[in-house]
Amino acid sequence: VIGGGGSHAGLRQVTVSSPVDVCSFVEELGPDAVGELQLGANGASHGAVFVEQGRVCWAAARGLARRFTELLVAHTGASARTVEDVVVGCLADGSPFGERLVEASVVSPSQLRATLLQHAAESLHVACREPAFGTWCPRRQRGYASRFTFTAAEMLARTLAEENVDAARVGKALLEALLDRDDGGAVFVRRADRSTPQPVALAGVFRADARGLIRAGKWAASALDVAADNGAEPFIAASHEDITLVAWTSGALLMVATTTPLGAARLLRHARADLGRSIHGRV
Amino acid sequence: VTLPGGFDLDSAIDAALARRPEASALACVDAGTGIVLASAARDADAMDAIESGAAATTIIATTPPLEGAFTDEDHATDRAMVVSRRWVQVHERVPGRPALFVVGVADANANIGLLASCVRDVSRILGECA
Repeated sequence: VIGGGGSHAGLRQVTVSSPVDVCSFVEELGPDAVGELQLGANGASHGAVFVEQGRVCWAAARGLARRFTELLVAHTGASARTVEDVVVGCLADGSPFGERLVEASVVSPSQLRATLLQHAAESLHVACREPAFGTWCPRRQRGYASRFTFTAAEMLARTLAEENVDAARVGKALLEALLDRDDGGAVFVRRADRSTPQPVALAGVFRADARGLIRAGKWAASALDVAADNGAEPFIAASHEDITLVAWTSGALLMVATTTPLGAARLLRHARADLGRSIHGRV
Repeated sequence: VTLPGGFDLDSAIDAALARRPEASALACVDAGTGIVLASAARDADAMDAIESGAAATTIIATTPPLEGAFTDEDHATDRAMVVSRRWVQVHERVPGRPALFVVGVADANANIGLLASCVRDVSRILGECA
């Protein structure tokens, strides 16, 4: 069965043209899914995405077999031999190697998480370069700690950041400087070769799944386009119950945030600095 | 425009603008179509801003669900604002008439809080009367 997440006799397949398809598919599997999405075309494997409890725990791509070790060595200064000894031991007994690397003090938990995410993003980016079919194969649970696994939305933004590195870095830093503790935000880039804005970074507590992330980007782009004043895109805030969804542009970046009405006023103050104006009064 | 029940929308918007100096223009907009049902403005530029604001209303009248992979139902916006270099627009849903929004426009340097209060008051009046 080929198509958007079709299923037949336990076999599920999906047509993959971008990381958006993979992350949406993973999300549709639900929070209990454990298994492997194998990506390939014309008999050739492009890679695979491994899912534990509905979250991405690992991704692999052809040509990147040693990349995790390279990244870990670069991030921690540990020797490649030390890392590989732990990984080989884990492969032999089937235990999650990330936790074992932390236990062995090869890497700190935060370093491990960052390395795993970067590795998975690079792998998914490479595996999705060419159109592919994904085949979902359920597997038994391996017990990865959820702190070392990633939501589909997190995976999507980090993967799309691979081809928008500077935008992701600048946008994330900007959002982190602007958002309050309970706020959340996402950075998008608009590219001529993509029909929808591409999420490239998340910041704060942005409660969105992968599809919600894409929807937020589309909404923001449409609203900003329609409300543009002589070609200059404005600042928009729309409130639904206690949540205010805010959209504005900063240079080439499309910013979306969830905040409170007072938080929206604070973000407006920033956006108005870009517009060369100061805020008067509160919303 | 006369709403069901005989409520004269044009007169209500005209009267509201005359009473409230905070706004440069006021309008009642159908959020589904962006059609301006009634409007009043102090000058032609403010009226133009109302027209473009009405187009924006069709999009910002709802926000997308951010969570829930299988839901396509948008959330109904209660209020919204659009701030550009030239104008501030405040959009407020009319209580009891969910298809209608009151849109108020003021100069970008105007006090947004006062404009929001004005638009909220007008939407309440329309909600009570319409």
